[in-house]
Amino acid sequence: MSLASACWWTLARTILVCMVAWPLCVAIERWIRRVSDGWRPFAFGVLLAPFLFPELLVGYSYRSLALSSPRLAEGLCLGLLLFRIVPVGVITLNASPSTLASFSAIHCRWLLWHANPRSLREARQFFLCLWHGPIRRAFPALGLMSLVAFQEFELAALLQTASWTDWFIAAQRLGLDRREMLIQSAWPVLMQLPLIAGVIYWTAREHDSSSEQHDEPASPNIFDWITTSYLVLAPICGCLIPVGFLSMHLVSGITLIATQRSQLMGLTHEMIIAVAISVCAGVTAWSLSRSLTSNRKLTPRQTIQRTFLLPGLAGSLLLSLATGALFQQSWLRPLYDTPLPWVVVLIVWLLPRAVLVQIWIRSTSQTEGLHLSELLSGNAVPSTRIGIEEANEASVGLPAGRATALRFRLRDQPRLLAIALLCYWAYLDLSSAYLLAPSGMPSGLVRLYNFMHFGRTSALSAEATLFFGFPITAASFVFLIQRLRLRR
Amino acid sequence: MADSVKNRSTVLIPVVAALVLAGLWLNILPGSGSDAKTLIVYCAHDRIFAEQVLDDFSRETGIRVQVRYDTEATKSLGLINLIIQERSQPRCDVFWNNELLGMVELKQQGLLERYQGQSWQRMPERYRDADGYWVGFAARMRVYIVNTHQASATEEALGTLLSFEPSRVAMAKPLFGTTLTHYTVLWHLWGGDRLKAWHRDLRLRGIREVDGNAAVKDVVAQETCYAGMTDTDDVFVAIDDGLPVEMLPVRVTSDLTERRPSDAANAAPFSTICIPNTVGIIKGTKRQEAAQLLADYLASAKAEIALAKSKSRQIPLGLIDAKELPEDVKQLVEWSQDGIDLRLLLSARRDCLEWLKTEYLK
Repeated sequence: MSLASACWWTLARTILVCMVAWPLCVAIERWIRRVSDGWRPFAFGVLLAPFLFPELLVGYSYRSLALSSPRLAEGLCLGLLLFRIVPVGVITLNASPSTLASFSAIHCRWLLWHANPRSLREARQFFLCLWHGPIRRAFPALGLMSLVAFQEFELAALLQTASWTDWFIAAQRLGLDRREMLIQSAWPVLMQLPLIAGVIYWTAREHDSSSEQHDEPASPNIFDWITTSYLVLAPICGCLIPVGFLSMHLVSGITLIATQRSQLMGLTHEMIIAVAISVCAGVTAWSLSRSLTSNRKLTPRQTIQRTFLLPGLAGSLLLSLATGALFQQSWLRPLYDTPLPWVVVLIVWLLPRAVLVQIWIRSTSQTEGLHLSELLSGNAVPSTRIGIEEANEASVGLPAGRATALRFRLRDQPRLLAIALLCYWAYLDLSSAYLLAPSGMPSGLVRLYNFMHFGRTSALSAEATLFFGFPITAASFVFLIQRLRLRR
Repeated sequence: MADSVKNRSTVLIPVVAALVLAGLWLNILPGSGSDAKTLIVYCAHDRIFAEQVLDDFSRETGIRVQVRYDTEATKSLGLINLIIQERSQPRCDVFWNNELLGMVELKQQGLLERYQGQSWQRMPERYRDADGYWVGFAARMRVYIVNTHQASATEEALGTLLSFEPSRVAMAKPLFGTTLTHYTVLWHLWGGDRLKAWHRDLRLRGIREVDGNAAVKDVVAQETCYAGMTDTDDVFVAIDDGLPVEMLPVRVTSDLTERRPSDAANAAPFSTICIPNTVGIIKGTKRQEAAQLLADYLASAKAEIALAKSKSRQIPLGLIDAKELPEDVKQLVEWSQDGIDLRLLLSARRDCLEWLKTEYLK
């Protein structure tokens, strides 16, 4: 298949899956806003699980099934992609500013246009209302969903469905001329460009609205049914089935690798490398993203800074290929066989994600509660008389430790979770590890990807459990310790 | 004040992480500090089989080996192109290739170091480079894998399948690995036009193309296809798992497409496709002595026996004690006697690959 055909095929798949995903996103986002505060983290957890679950394991679990028929493989790819992009859409919708035109306003405009169908002014006003209303709110979610679907790599590779990403890997391995590769990369870049520009435009807008301000018509019952069905089905197909598949061979796998000390040592070594690289990239991307989103008012300098998000939105595969070529060809060549290209690609790739997470945290954070907790812990110096009174009033009967714990929960915990999430994404990125890891510093992810082509399930189960379980266990442990420390 | 602490920490944490990373890399870097005896090996052989041999080498010699593997789907060609790309600043010391023609290509491009060591001396002429730029060892063969629940493992049944039901036959995309060698042999024997016609006909009639030889084994084992073209080591994985498969060697001739010895008594002789692993030292290596030791070790009788006894059942090419061979490898040794000499097929490989690129990438 030529690159052009592969690109069109991927684009068709992207459009189809986004069309199916969009109503789901709307329904789920409405439902999530109705969920009580206590249950909301759980709801987000269930929603995000299929997106955060390692894609390699999902692809591998369904690989045997996909091999039985190319049509089935395409169907599986579509279904699994759907489970991955819906959370992206919901989170983006949830973080998007409320519409500037309410549904009542749109309806009124519609009535006016309907009453005077020949009036161009009324038509224009109606479409302006639509633009400032649902379209402007929907675009970022649809844009990001489309980017995630279009850039899909591991799933398409393991399920053996046509994809432009697969074409590039094959071309790179065949030693296609770099110039030719760069020319060919125009295809996927051009196809993604409108989406990337839209997403950048969206991040440049002010985000000062809270989710409570949304104005929407009441949801019919069918939306609740759709939401419930999705929230049951997605974690089962996207997480539990792959976990079950791994568990089937886990005991024999652990027994096997326990007897192979060198293999275990090799995996540990590769895990340490992957952790070091991802922490470095994740923390740096987070720090950079803070400077990109620090001011609510957009300055010209910040507008220029936000163009740095462009390459990251092109996806890690294209970035890795381009960076590899750059470090091999230019004055940067002495740095080619170092971890630098790998880390740079991960930072650039993570940057838009970090900005998105920042925006989401900002749009969902309880600013009043945070302010009060800062007053209580004595860290913020009240500048007004009202502030001093508030602080005095609030601190009556509350020990300082509890105030610090409250501040941690409201301010630091979301940030730590965000950094952990960025590191986790870096840890799971196959393209950069596959193309840019220097000699002697392979990531365990590439080892697993290798095994997945051999069908060696028992050893793979054990190694995958160790590789993917390690960061989750480590992060949980750190959070647990932190919580215990704050309780004292 | 809290803000200044926050700002400081946002700079400090990445700096510390970068320093840790740099330290880790410097520690791993070959030739750094006390760790001067470290070799960088690019290995196209299946990781699950190669790892043990390289570990044994490290244990015996004290030389640490850092290995870069490639995936099942793109291996050998991916690493060969990487070596070519890195020619001005090579980082690989020794290349363990899982086929032979890539090594001939690297020799032609002047990327290999000459070394006629003990291992080179013990190998038959057809499995080593005459000038000592590479040496072959531990081969595998191209075979048909047949699901015995769906078809009988006979040449007649395979011929019928390929003629009338090619959608029930699987093969890997011939762009990479041993399938590329298979196609190169056919190009050499039949000529380009005939191979192109055969290939297009099979694709038109729905032959199942998958992303690697392991996937061929999988689709045949799970009865999606009845037969496929793959390598002996993949078939043994299925046999060891108790799956209902058998194998037959692929036999090729310049006269007939498929094996029909009875039909072709007077025609050109049939050959099997026996593809050795090869090892070569990369030109410009700074660890020549250690590289030579590894080249000698890989093509030694000891490593060949170890690979023959491994799950991949590689066929020893040098002289070894036949008693040490497993029974199923003895059968392979017999088939490999008819193996075609691959050393002269470089130009066929180049032409075939150029055509395949246009077929799959354009």
